[in-house]
This record gives sequence, structure tokens and C-alpha cells, in this order.
Amino acid sequence: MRKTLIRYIAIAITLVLLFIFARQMKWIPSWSDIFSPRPVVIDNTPILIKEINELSQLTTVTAYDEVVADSFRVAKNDMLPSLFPIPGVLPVSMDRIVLVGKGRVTAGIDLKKIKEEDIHIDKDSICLRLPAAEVFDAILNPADFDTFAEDGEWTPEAVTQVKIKAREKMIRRALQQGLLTRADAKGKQLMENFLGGIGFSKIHFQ
Amino acid sequence: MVKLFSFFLLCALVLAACRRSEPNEKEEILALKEMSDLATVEYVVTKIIRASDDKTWYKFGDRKILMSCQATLKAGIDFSKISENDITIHGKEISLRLPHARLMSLNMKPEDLKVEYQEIGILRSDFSTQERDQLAAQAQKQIEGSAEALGILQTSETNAALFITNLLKQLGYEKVRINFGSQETTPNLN
Repeated sequence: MRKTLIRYIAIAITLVLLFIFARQMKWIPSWSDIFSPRPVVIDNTPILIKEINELSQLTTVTAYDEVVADSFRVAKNDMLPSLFPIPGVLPVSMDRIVLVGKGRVTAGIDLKKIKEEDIHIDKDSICLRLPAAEVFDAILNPADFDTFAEDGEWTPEAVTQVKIKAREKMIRRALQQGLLTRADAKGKQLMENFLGGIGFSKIHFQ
Repeated sequence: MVKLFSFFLLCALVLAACRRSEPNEKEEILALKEMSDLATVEYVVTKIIRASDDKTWYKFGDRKILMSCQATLKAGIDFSKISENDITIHGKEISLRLPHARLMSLNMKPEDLKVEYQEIGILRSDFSTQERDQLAAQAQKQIEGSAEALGILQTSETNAALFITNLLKQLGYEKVRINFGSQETTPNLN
């Protein structure tokens, strides 16, 4: 009787060990995997080229930043104020959306704007008028956003407005950090190195 | 026999405790970074994002979504990789070796992502902002992966050669040779 019991216990332990081993090797799914939703995968649709533009943008500075943008409104399904209207009292619930975006703003010098009259050469000396630095891109792609909170129903258009707000905030903060001043200085340094490398010994910027 | 069981039990506990820990997300430094990228071409591309959420066995009913997106890809060369060894000058003749072009950015503006159509089963909820962003992020990856096939790098190198040739001619050089890596490119200036 005791031997049979020990045999059953041994079989049970072996089965448990086999199960644990199979889980570790990922041969069988876990309970959480069985009840976790399957990822939604997009179809492989073609990519169409709409435009091709020639550029000469010398990006000299990139500002990386993380911004928060939100929007609030009175909840549509908030029946309390309509049922018990109390003048001067704010509605009790609000719909809100809070997004966190991690992106970058690039700035530099558009070399396409250099005209012939901006270049003056005399033997090995050059005087160059560089255009002022400008913001080229503010990149906040869909993958760069995190939804921190979303209460109520928000249309895609309303969400787009919040994202635009985040992008504008990112540009504003980058400019406050002195993005364009740094871009100007780095642009001059790069052009100086390049012009020095191609044989000019005296380089002046206007 | 009891010792043997204790050993098995211990093994089972150790195995159960050995869970794979996920690597921590790499922390990024948020700051101003100096660059030296010369972007020479911009491709504006469009794509339809089509997905249906019907793979989860315990969710009843389907959800389908159709979105359209537009993205801007920029490619160019890294100016900082040009060293003195890459420049050879003989009088009014100059030879310049440039680094190969690379994809510099992909910008999918929020206003360029539009939900065209969606079909939600009565037992299902709408696609949330996070879910729509995840689908758009997949499209972003597909576009990034296809960048080379779109020919953006070749166009970028051709444009870079043209731009630098013109600039060097403005600076007084009569003959300009541009190479990328080890391969020589003669821009068609007409």
C-alpha cells in the first residue's frame, strides 16, 4: 500500500517537473498567454511615393524631449448636472485624455538658400554669408506616444489636436533651450572645417 | 525515498523560481545633440493601414479598421565622416570621397494619420488611441523597412554629388570628382 502511494506521488512529481520544464522551454503556453489578447497585426499594403523633393539641409542640432499634452471636457454621459442643475456648481465628472510624447526637433542651415552673391573669394580667403538656422522637423511619430489616461470617448480628430499641441510644446521648449543659436554656431563650425579642408586658409562669415 | 522526493521538490521550486526577467527599457538622455547630417532628398509616401482584430478566441465579434497615413522620409550623408584623407586637390581639380547615404528620419505627422473606416461588432469596444497608435507604429516600421527598396538612398547620393559639385564649382574648382565609399560617381550636370 505504501509502495503504491509512493509510486503515485513520484509520478505526480515527475509530471509537475515535466510541466515546469515544458513551460520554461515555452513548449506550452502559460495561463496568462491563453487569456491574453492576440496582437493585431496590420496587412502588408503597398507604399506609394507621392513626392520626391531635392534638399540641401545641413542638420546641425537635434533637441530630444519628452512632453505631456492633455485635453479635458465635460463628460457627455454625466447626467447629474442635467438632472439636478445647481447654478454656479461645476459638473462632477470630466472626460480627459493625457498623452506623453517622446520626440525630437531638428534644426540647421538650409544650404540651398546660399546664392552666388553670398560667396566672395579672393585667392585662399573666402567670405560667406550663411542663411540663418531654422527648425527643419519636429518628429513625434505614433510610436513615440504613450496614452497615460483616456477617459470618455475621444474621436481620432480630437486626439490629433492633442498630439499637435504636444508637438508645438516640444518646438517651443527646444527654442527656449537655444536650439537655433546652437544650430547657427555648429553650422558655421562645420562649414569652416569643410572650407578649410578644401583649401581655404582664411574663412569669414557675414 | 523521502530524500529523493525532497530533492525533486527542491528542483521544482528552483525551476519555478527561475523566471526570465525582461530587460529594462534603455533610458535615453533628453538633451541637445550636435549633428552634421546633410539631408539631400525627401520622399513623401502614403500607405493604407488595414487591420482586423479577430484572432482572440474569447472575444466575440470582429473589429476592423482602415486608416490612411502619409510619412516623410529624409536621407542624406553624414558630413562629420568626411576627413582630410577624403579630399585630394590638384590645382583646380578636386576629388572628394563621401560616406554612403543613410535614412535620417521618418516623420509621420499626427494630422497625416486618418481613420477612413471602422467596423466594430456590437460586443466589442472602439479602437482606443493607444491601439490606433500601435497600428500606425507597425506601418511606420514597414515604411522604414522598405526605404531602401524605394530607392531613397540612391537618389540621396545622386543629389549629394550634384549639390557638392555645384558648391565646389561656385568656390572656384573646375573639375570635381565625387566618390561614395570606394565607388566613383560622376554627376550628370548637363
